[in-house]
Amino acid sequence: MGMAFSFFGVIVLMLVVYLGAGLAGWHYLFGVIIPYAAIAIFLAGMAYRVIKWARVPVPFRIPTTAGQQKSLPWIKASTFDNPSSTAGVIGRIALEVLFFRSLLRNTRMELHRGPRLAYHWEKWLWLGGLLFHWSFLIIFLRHLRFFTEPVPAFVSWLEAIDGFFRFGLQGLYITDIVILVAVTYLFLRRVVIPQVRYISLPADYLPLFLILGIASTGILMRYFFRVDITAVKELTIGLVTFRPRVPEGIGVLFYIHLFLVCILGAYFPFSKLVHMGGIFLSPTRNLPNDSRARRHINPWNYPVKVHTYEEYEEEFREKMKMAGLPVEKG
Amino acid sequence: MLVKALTGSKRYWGWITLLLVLIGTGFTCYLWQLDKGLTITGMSRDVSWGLYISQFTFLVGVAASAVMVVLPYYLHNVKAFGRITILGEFLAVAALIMCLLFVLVDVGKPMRILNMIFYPTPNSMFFWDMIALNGYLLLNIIAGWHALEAEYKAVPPPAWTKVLVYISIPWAVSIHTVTAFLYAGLPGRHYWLTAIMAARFLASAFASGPALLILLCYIIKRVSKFDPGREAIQKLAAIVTYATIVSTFFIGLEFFTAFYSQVPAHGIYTLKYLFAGLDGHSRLVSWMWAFAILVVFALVLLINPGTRTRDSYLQLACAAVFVSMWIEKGIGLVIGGFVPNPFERVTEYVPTLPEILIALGVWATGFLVLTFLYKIAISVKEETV
Repeated sequence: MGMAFSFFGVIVLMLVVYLGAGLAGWHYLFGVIIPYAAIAIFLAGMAYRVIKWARVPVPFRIPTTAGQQKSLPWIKASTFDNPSSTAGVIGRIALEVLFFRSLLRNTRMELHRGPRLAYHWEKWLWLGGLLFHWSFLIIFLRHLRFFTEPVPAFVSWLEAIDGFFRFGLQGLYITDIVILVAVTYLFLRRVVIPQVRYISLPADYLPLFLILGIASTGILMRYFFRVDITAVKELTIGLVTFRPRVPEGIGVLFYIHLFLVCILGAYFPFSKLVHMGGIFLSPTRNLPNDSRARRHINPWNYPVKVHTYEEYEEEFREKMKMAGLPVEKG
Repeated sequence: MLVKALTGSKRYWGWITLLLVLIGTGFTCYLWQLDKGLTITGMSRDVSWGLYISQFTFLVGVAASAVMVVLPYYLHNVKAFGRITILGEFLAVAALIMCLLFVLVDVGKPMRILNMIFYPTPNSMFFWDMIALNGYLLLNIIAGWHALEAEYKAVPPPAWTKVLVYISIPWAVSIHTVTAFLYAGLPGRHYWLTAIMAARFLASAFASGPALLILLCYIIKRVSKFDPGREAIQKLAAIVTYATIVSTFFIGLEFFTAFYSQVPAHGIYTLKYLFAGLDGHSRLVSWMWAFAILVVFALVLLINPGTRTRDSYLQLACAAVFVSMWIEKGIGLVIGGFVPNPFERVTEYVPTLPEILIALGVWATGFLVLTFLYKIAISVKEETV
């Protein structure tokens, strides 16, 4: 149900562009107004989410221990799995963001004949996720060539490396193939594994179909149904210099691609995709485990009225003496 | 399990660093080659396959030799090999990665290499070699990895991997046969145009590969708590002995056909060039005599049970087998095949320094892969011992 809803949702979005930009010719709407609106929603939404998270007080450390905590000097502490310093925390977040370290540790319990319990290393989700995210990042960075003039050297480098192998005369971007394969795998995994399918919601399928739609339209535009790339650059440069203009003759495929990107961007802050920002704000990841070395005091503790033993004895000393109870001060 | 490759002693990391330096140097030279073209190598119109393709040919043999542990274990239930089948399969993986890299660096326009897939040419041996090598690589990665995982979990491997292993046995023969056909199918090169080329390739492969595996087993025994087992090593030694004998015999056959028939088209001039020099050109003569001496030396040590069963002599013999087979196949066979050229002239070939560094870089890449795979495998084995 969720799958069909998301799938036809994306199809409808494509049809909207086909009717709007293709048949009705509303190029300014789809080429300028919607992209600006999408970027505005994306920025505002992300700022809202990040500020909201950042304002939540996290007074205490939440040590999610996957390694030995720093304690006595002769016990080897685990720098990244249980960091005690900021540097260690940066390392832990970097490993998490760049290599999905916690996903790498994913295991599945198996019961074999015997009976024998075994833990199977689940590598495919990690590998699929890693390939997908890295391809997405490289593709995103490659697109900077449309938004910059002159194009920064690193973008050209990335293009040269990614498109090293040729398909006919033009470079065949490896990331194009990898992202399609990876997203398809991530989708199939959702559908094929019953437990994963059971917990999958439209909000899980929609980003997958959107990204699949974006990647396929991009690939179609590059290798099969070419669009006027100079005109595309004119449009994108117009957008980033705030002097928007819409050149004639860009194919409708481009508008579909752009519209799906806009939808993804606008949807981003309000969906699970916002984990892009959220990962950095995870308290279980971004706090050093130094609870034993430093005392953390809850900042919003209200002053508690206490009655210490000294005060108690001061008050009842005479009575205590009379009752024969021991007192500390004579 | 991957993480096991990232923890190790200082010596382990020293070795990794050394390999990385070699890879870096080779890669830098390769970037230069990519810029200038193959002109920076010693190859020429007359000798169009040099160090790269000869290393490729030799390493296909090393890869194919994995079957020499897999076959006895799976088809004849030789239990002793159970401990080292994974090592054989992983050696094949590393060797195949080197093979593919050597092909890649030998291609003048590597960016067009995918045309092999976009425009398939089933009448070309190269096309089939691509399929054979990549298929064998995949088979070994999958079968080897699942076997290792099963060992890690202390459960039997999934049944379907056994099917892959059975497929991999004839496949191993096929990779070296197809590679031999790359040579044996060329009517213009007398030295290669011999029907026993594939047989020679397989024989030398089954000598050099297991010899390397024996040496690796000794290294593993020294640096880890895992013992591959004396019985396995001795069984491999027997295989090396037979294969070296057969391999030497086959080379002798070439000599007989060439010199008894006195027909130039049986490679007589190449053999003269390789072992005595031709028209005053004798660059490979010392190499080939080194091969001859080493192979005799190795055979003496191997055939004699008194020396074969002694660790130190066996190590010496295996090193001699490996080096001699490398000279014969990795230098003499490929380069010699181009001499004399079809105009009966001699053009010699000497690899240039960047060419050697690139080749070293590829070897280092293969050994890095091998080190990582072996490190993971041995860590698992150490835990389950």
